[in-house]
Parts: sequence; structure tokens; C-alpha cells
Amino acid sequence: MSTVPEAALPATTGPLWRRIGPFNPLTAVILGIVGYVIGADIVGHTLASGVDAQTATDQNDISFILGLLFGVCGFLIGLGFANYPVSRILGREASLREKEQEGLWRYFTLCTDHKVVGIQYLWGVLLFFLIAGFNAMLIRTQLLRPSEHFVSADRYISLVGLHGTMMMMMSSAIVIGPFGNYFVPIMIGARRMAFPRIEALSFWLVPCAEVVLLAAVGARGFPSGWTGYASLSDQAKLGMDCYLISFGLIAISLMLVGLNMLATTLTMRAPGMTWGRLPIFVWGVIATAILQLLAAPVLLLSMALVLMDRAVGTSFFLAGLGGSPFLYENLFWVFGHPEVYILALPGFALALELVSVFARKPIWGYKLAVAGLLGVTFLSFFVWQHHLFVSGINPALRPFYMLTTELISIPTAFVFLNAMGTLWKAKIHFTVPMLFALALFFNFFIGGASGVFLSDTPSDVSTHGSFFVMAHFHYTIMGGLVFAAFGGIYYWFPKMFGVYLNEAIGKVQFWLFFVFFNLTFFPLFIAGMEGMPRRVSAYAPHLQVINDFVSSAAYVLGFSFLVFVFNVIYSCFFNRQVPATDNPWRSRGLEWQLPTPIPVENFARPPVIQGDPYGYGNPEAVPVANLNPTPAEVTAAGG
Amino acid sequence: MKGFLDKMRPAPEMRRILIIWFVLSVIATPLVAIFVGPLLPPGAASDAAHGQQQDNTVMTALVTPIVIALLVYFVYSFISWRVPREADVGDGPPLRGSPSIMGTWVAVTVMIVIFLATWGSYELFPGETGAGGGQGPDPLAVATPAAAKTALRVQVIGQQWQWTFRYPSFGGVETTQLVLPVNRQVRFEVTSIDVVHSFWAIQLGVKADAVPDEANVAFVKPVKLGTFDIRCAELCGLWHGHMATHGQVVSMPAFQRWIAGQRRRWAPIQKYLPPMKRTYMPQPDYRAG
Amino acid sequence: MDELESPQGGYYVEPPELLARNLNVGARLFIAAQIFFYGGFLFAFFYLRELNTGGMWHPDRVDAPVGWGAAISACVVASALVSGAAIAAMRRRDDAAWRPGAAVALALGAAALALQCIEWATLGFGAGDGGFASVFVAWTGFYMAFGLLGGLYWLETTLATSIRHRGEAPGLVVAAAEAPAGARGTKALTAPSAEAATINLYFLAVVSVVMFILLYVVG
Ligand code: HEA
Ligand code: HEA
Ligand code: CUA
Ligand SMILES: [Cu+2]
Repeated sequence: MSTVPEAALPATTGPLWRRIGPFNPLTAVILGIVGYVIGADIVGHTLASGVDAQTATDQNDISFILGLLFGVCGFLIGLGFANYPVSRILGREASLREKEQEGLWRYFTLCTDHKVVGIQYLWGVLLFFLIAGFNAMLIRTQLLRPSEHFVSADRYISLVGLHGTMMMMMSSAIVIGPFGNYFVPIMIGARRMAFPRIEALSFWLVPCAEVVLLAAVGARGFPSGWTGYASLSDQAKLGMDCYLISFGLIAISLMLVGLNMLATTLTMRAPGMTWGRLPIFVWGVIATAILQLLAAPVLLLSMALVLMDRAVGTSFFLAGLGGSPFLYENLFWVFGHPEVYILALPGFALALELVSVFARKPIWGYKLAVAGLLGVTFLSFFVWQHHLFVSGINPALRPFYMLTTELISIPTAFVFLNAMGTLWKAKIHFTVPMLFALALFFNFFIGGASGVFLSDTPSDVSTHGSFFVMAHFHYTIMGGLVFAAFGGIYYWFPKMFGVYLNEAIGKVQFWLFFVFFNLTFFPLFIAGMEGMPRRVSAYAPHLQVINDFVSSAAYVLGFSFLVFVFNVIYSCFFNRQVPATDNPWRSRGLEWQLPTPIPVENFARPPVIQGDPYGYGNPEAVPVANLNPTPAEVTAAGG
Repeated sequence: MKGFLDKMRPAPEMRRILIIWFVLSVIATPLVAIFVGPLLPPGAASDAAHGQQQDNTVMTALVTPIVIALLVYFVYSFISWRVPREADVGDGPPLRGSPSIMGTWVAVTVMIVIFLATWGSYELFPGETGAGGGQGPDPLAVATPAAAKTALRVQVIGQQWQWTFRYPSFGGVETTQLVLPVNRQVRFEVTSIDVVHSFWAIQLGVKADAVPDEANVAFVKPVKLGTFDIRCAELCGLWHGHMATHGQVVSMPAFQRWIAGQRRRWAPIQKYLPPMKRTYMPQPDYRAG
Repeated sequence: MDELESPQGGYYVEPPELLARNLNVGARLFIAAQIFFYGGFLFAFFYLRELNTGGMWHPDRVDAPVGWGAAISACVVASALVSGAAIAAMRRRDDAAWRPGAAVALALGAAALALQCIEWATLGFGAGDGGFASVFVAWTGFYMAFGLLGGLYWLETTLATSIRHRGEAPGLVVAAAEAPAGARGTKALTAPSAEAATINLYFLAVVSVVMFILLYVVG
């Protein structure tokens, strides 16, 4: 206890110009453009000249790819991400923390305060959610009629791909990004994440990726949906490179988030924070982080290999040239299936957290919940070929994958039992966050049960590639994760921003969302069973009635998010309701015991954790942490 | 069930929940199986379709009591344990779990899962038809119907963006129509000459990916006369949505007449077709760049 | 406790060895992620080899030069071993002995990179020559451009820091837990960082041996 590592100190203050510039969003954008030009026009053209396949057509993948990569690097350098590595190469002293003390500006630049990163994630991800949701509205408009009438066939496929990819990318971060970064360090009694710079990088890669993805619109789109199957991806236009690079960037981001979250929970827990006292949300984050750390590299690899096939001339996925599309399908789903639990697990954990707070009861069967989360994590690496039941890959293994897939229902069902046990004889408060959390269980059951249909190979033969699958995953992702995320927003908003979101408007949003979500997606199970394939802009005329109904419901569903946007603006600027206390929900969570706003270093003194945050109903329960321990108490607790 | 109830000595609330659940399930499950089952896809136009419909029926029937259990429990708890906002600042009882309930829950779900996996695998075992799904190039190792030896072979070739069909036992004639004789085992061999497609004969309950350089075999035995829809079920580019056609199941004599007509009709171009192979090499320069 | 007061009036007890532990854990997690990354190549290798589509897995003209491969792998392995041996000196607080060791390790790693570049330039086949050629080019490419280069960068930062501060109190470059008061920030990171970088190098050495066996011997 003798040293004060630099890392623990707040960044030095200095003159304003020093603190703002020269690394800010403006330099970032400028360097991003400069990078693109250098990459595409100078390096790219030099490398590509002489490569017939690239220059003989108007489609020069090499220079486009290099342009995008250099552009992204330029953007990150412009934000200041290169300063630290360069100092280190020269052996100079470099601060581990950056821009934590500056006002509003820090939200728009490289900042290593985990709370700032959390808020950056929240608004960044919501913005992309709205854009991708807007794409969904366009999709639904096209599907009002059984043949192309609104957009052309290629535009439609690009729209679906953009919607799906962007949604998958943003929803991998919609809970763990904002709430993981903001609250996990606090919940475990830490001042920061293990690697604050990596944390900042993991956020800034997300807007890079999303912008690169959107750039596909200007590069004639990409025809492959979010799954990007080869060898369609190989013959696609330049827009495909945008998909590949942007998903690759997300893979890096996911991997870094996973690494950071795991390191943080492994090493940064406050004295007394045993594994059995971790909030269940932290367990959810740990499980997710394991999946991210291990699965995302495989995604990075698949994207990189497709890029090589397109630009360097390798033939990984080209049948007859020594490669095989099956290789891509396997690699993609080795990532792709863990990915869907990257989406699901934080949602489960968050919902359990909310149910416990608003049922005023401890989580029933805490250990079972942990086992459920980890069990899903483990199993999810062994099921990927259920996406390939009719592909002809390994037909003999189908019973195995059927079994493993169905086995996942068991740990998932633990989470349901936890929620039901927690509601038993509870004191249920139907606040807005609670409504969202409870809706998750309703929606996710439908999603999960339809998953069990799909996991049954004979049944999957009839529904694979149909809207049944599409309804399945909207029920699990939209109905599960997105509901949980909105529950989290309503729950933590008072802590993060110091005001309530308006409750009445929140209820309006919830009911519109819940009812029209179900009206939108349930009929699509039927459409799928009736033989409506996915990703088609033309379908059998007798399905028009269902589709029109669905589209109408989807518009109202879209409207419910405008209600949310209105609620945020209204509650933040026009009708600020400041909670009377720091802990308006009477939660026992550690984050609620801190003042609002939470100070930069979170804890003035290292908290000594005394119990889990679920002491509801137990008069003898000690507070979750001693926030003002003496040094002796810290040492006694093992700190 | 009886012993379990005794041992658990359920609280009165739980007993009420169980009774409501039991009554509703006993009523609803058979109704679902009897009335919803036949509506489920893909119908009964072939043995494969019938098998899939059976699976769907079993699973729907199985899910019904589970849905009811969850709904009854949740609704019951909402009604009986809600508190008016801010009226009650107290907490609920600090219950932390009950090993016997957890154990029961785990046991029940494990049983359901084992049943489902066994049932699902059953149709894939040798001797069965593999449920109409694509089974790779060499289905003998997996599932081959008894009639496989005499099955009518039909090669399905996907390309951007249409289907063509070749009948090896009829001189390898290639047509753009798919006509099948009724009550005869058919062996589809699905392949592609460009990107990945998926051959989906909706009412027959057949789906098999068409992958370049792979032959993907699927068995089916149509049992009803009539037309069926064919669609592409894997995204294959611009006109994926229009890669659709119809097929027909006809009587054996009608099939013989039709195939003879096709052979006459396509005879002039027959010699320009590549010889019948299980797969056709994609053009090496098929990369559109 | 005075010097430990924070702006909020509490005191900091971020345990000093925390940084070391973070790096240590971080390095291991990073290795786990890399296992899955290179595991993908392993999968691609055996999968494509098994399928051998169009008979194009390994046409006869494709021939990876074993000599080069052995030399490259030997350099990487030697680099890792030297770096590991040097760490022992650092644990004895003998930075003067550690620095030359680290420098040699860096040089060996750089030699591997250089050899690889020469090998690519003189390779008798190209990326488009079938499945094996694809795996060869991509695997060596990503391994060198990201894996090894990154690993060497990591080691270099610690060496550079240590050299820059060579005149300062001896034992600066020791585990942060024992660092003298006043050692701050990245300086205090040097020792744990070097250890973590070495663990990573060990891993990279293992990968390079696997690559040698698969790409040059098995084929
Ligand atoms: C959040 C995302 C998420 C989640 C959690 C899941 C969960 C599950 N998914 Fe889903 N899935 C997707 C997202 C998700 N899926 C996506 C995006 C795709 C399509 C990708 C594409 O092609 O584009 C897909 C596709 C997909 C397929 C491939 C379909 C096809 O293309 O042919 C299959 C097949 O097995 C499947 C199965 C399952 C199963 C069995 C679960 C299980 O985990 C569900 C378990 C949960 C329950 C069963 C409910 C709770 C349980 C109880 C209350 C206990 C009692 C019940 C029983 C014992 C049955 N999913
Ligand atoms: C997180 C995942 C997620 C979420 C939340 C959603 C949300 C929605 N999705 Fe999405 N969807 C996918 C993931 C998701 N989707 C994926 C992975 C695919 C597969 C892609 C593929 O095949 O490759 C897919 C495919 C898909 C299809 C199938 C297309 C096809 O196969 O032909 C359809 C069609 O109806 C659809 C509809 C919708 C709708 C109506 C919503 C609604 O819930 C959206 C709600 C609306 C909003 C959120 C917008 C609110 C805003 C406004 C109304 C305007 C305001 C605008 C601004 C402020 C800019 N989706
Ligand atoms: Cu062919 Cu879709
Ligand atoms: Cu899956």
C-alpha cells in the first residue's frame, strides 16, 4: 500500500485547448477521410495495378478495402488512439487514463471513464437501433404487396442485409455496452475497468463499423443478408467489402469487450466480493464475455478470409478451386450461434435483476441462475450445425446437434424458474422497468419454444429459410433482449442522468411496444409455415393478407419508439423529475448506494462488500457494502 | 405425480395453480392435437410431409401444457401478489430457493428434452426417409428408405436464378419442369453450378441446399396427385425471390407419357448437354469480379 | 496516509500489484481468444484437405519450402525462449541483464519476420493455387502481420521504457508490487508487461511450431 500508480490518479488538468485538441471528432473525421484517400488512391492503386482481376473491371476491391481500413485507422488516430502506443514504442511515460475530468466534451472523444463509455454506448447504440428499425419499416412497406412496388429487388435484399447486420451488431452491445460498462465496475466495487483504453476503443469501433456498414449503401449494397454466405459474397459488388470490414471491426470490439469484462471481474472485485455475492447481472456479463472472447475471433477470421478471397485471390470458399462454401457456413455459425446467446444472456440477467428489485425478494435460486447462464455458455459452442440441418454437411451428426440444441432449453429454463420463484408471494410493483422485464419472459418463451421446433430436424426441414425462423429470432432478440434493454434504461436512467423517465409515457410506450410487437411477429410464424421464404421481395399472393396485417402492426411498433424518443426529450428537458433520493427504487444494488451523479472515481474509499445485493425481506441483512471502511477493515476483508 | 405432490406438500396457492393448470391442460392439449395439428405444415402430400406434420403436432401438443403452466403461474402471481404503487413499502419473504422444486424442474425439462431428441432422431435413422431433408452426397450411411434402390432419381440443378431437372434414368433429359409419379420413391440429388441455393418443394416437405460441387440427396414419396410449389430457400442474389416454379405429381402412366414427350422435345439439344454427373464444376472464371 | 488522500477525501487503495495482475490475466485471456482465431485456420486446413474439392487442395506444383519454414519457426521459438530466460534476470532485479536478453529476443523475432518476407517473395506458388496455398498464404500472413508483429511490439515497449529509465533507481523494472515509491504509470508496468509479453511469445512460438508441422511437413 505504498505506491500510487498513475492509473489511479485523475488525469492532469491543463489549458482548455490542450484538453480539447488536437484530438477530437473533427480531427478524427479529417484523418479518416485522409486515410481513405491514402489507402484507396495511393496504396491501393499501387498494389492493385497489375492485378487483372481487380483492374479489368470497375471494381477494385483492393483499393476500396485499403481505403476503408486506412480510413478507420485515420479516424481512430484522429481521436487519439495512437498516442499511447507511440509513446510506449519510444519508451515514454504515458497516462493510462484520459479526459476523465472534462465537461460534456468528454462524451464525444476518447475518454477512459467507464461511465462515460457507458453513456456513449447507450446513445450510440440507440441511434443505430433507430436507423436499423427504420430500415425495417422500409422492409415492411415493400412487403405490403406480393411483388416489387416500393424498392427494386436488389435494393430490397440490401435493405434486409443492412437491417439484419446492423441490428445484430448493435444488439450485441445494447445491454453489455451501456450497462455493462457503466455498472459492472460499480457493482463489483471497482473504480474502473481493467483496461480503460481498450474499453474506449471497444466503443469507438462500433460507430466506425456502423458507418462503414452504411457506406455499403453508396457502394451498391450487399446481396447476402447478415449471414454473408460464400460464394455469393465472392461475386458481390463493392458493398460486400463494407459488410465484411464492418463486421470484422465489430468482431474486434466484441472480443475486446469480452476480454476487458472478464479481466475486470477476475481482478478488480472489491474486498469481500466473493463469487457468491456477485449480482446476477454481473454473472450474465461474465457469461456473455466468455462467449464474446472466444466466438468473436472466429467471426474476425471468417470476415478476413472472405476479404482475402475477394481481394488477394485465395480460394477458401470457392468450390472446385480447393475451397468450399461449407467452410464458410461452418466458420460463420461457430461464431453465429454463440452470438445469439451473446444477445440473450445479458437480457436474462438484467431481467432477473429487475424482477428481484420490483418483487422485493431475493433472486430465488441464485446458484441455479448462475448455473443456467454458464450452462448456456458452455453448450452454445456445440450446437452450430442446427443452422445447417438441410445443407448436406455431416448429415450423420444431425441427431447430435438436435440433442445439444434441445439441451440448451434446460439451462435456459433455469432462468424461467428463477423468475417464477422470485415472484412467489412477492410484493410486485408494476413499474415500467418491471413490465419490460416480465414481458421478456412471455416473449422469450414463444421465441424459445419456436426454437425447439426448429431444433427438431424433421420440423426444421419444413421451416428452415422461412419466415418461421425470422419470427423465431425476432421473438428471442426483439422480444427478449430489446425488452430487457428498455427495462434497463427505465431502471437506471435516474442513476445515469439524475432524472426519471416519465412513468405514464413509459407505460404507453410499453403497452404499444408489447402489444404491437406480438401482433407484428406472431402472424409471421404462420406466414413461414404457409411457405413464405425469407429475404424475398416477391411472395405468393395468398400471403398478402397476413403481410399487410403485419406491416400495419409494425408501423405502430415503430411509432412506439418515437414515443420513447419523445419521453427522453420530454423528461430530460421539459419535465425534469429529479428523484428525491439517491435510491428511488429502494434497490439494494451497490450502484444505488452511491450518490447521483456518481463521482469520477466511483468510490471515495474502497468499499468492503458485506453481502449479496439481495437482502430483501431479511431484517438482519447488512447493507451490501461498507462504503466508508477504515483501512483496518479493508485489510481484514482481504483488500 | 401423486407421490411428488405429497412430498412437496404444496402451499394452497400452489395447489390452486396446479389444479387450474391441470384442468386447462387436459382440455387444451387434445384440442390442440386434434384441431391444430392437421393445420400445421406441410400437410400430407408425401410421406416426408406427413412425418414433419406429425413432429409439428407432437411438439405443439407438448408445448401447450408448458405454455399454460407458465401463463397460469405468471397471471396468478400478478393478480395475487401485486401491491398498489407505493402502498406497501415492505419486502417479500426472503426465500432463496428450494432444492426439491429445482430438482423437479430440472428432471421434468430433462425428460422432455430426452423425449424430443429421441423422437426427432427416430425419423432420421436408417430405414426412414430422412424426413425429406438434404442428407449429403452419401445418405446410405444415414438414412435410406427400403425402396431406395429402385427410387426414381431426379437431379435438381440450381443456378442464378432458376431450377432445372435432369432424369438420369431417362437418358439424362434436362427439363425446366418437375413432374413426379405418385406413390413412387423419389431420390432428389440437388446441386448448384454457382452459389448456394436451397431446393424447397413446399407441400412435399422437401428441402435440400444446392451447393456447388456437392450432391445433396433427399428422399420423398409423393402420395397425392396435384401441384406443389418450388421455391429457393437460400439467399442467392438479386432474383432469389423469383427463383420459384411449380411441380406436379401425376399418375404413373401420365408420368411416362410426359417424360417420353420431354425426351422427344429436348432430343435436338441433348448432345450439347454435359454428360450426366453428380455435380458440375463451376466455371473457374465464374467470379463476377 | 496523507499522500494517499484522493480529491474526494477518501484514500486510494488500488493495490499496486493490481496492474500486474490485470496484465497477467489479460495476456492469458488474449491467448484464449487467439486460440480460437488460429483454431479457425486449423479447422480450415483439415476441412479443405479432407474435401479436396476439384482435386485442388494441393496441386503438385505447390511446394512449401521446408528449409525456410524451419528457419522461421526456429527463430520464433528461440525468441520466446531467450525472452523467457531474460525474465528470470528481471525477477532478480537485474535489469542490466534483462535488457540484452530482451533485445536478442526482439532481434530473433525480427529475423523471423524478415525470413518470412523473403520466403513470400521467392515462393513458387501464389494465393490462388488451391486450398493449401490459400491456407498457407492467409495463415502465415495473419500470423506475421498481427500475431508476431503485435507480440514483438509488446516486448519492445517494455524494453524501450526500461532503456529510457536505465539511469534511475535500480529495481525499477521489477514487479510493480515491489516497485519503489514514486514509480508510477507505465514505468511500474514494465516488469509485469514484459512477463505478460513473454507469455504471449511462448504461445506464438507454439503456434509457429504447429504451423511448421502442418504447412511445411504435413501439407
Ligand atoms: C437471442 C437470440 C436467440 C436465442 C436465445 C435463440 C435460442 C434458440 N434457438 Fe435460435 N436463432 C436465432 C436467435 C436466437 N435463438 C437467430 C438470429 C437465428 C437465425 C439466424 C439466421 O439464419 O439468420 C436462429 C435460428 C435458429 C435455428 C436454425 C433455424 C434454421 O435456419 O433452420 C434453430 C434450430 O435449431 C434455433 C434453435 C434455437 C433454440 C433451440 C434456442 C433455445 O436456446 C431456446 C431455449 C428456450 C426455451 C425452450 C424456452 C424456455 C424453456 C422452458 C420454459 C422450459 C420448458 C420447455 C422445454 C423443455 C421445451 N434457432
Ligand atoms: C436485434 C435484432 C433485430 C431487431 C430488433 C429487429 C427488428 C425488426 N425487424 Fe428484423 N431482422 C433481424 C434482426 C432484428 N430485427 C435480422 C438479423 C434479420 C435477418 C436479416 C437477414 O435475413 O439476413 C431481420 C430480418 C427482418 C425481416 C425479414 C426480411 C426478409 O427476410 O425478407 C423483417 C420483415 O418484416 C424484419 C422486420 C423487423 C421489424 C418490423 C422490426 C421492428 O421491431 C423494428 C421496430 C422499429 C424501430 C426500432 C424504428 C423506430 C423508428 C422509426 C419508425 C422512425 C424514426 C427514424 C429515425 C429517428 C431515424 N426484420
Ligand atoms: Cu436461389 Cu435463392
Ligand atoms: Cu443457433
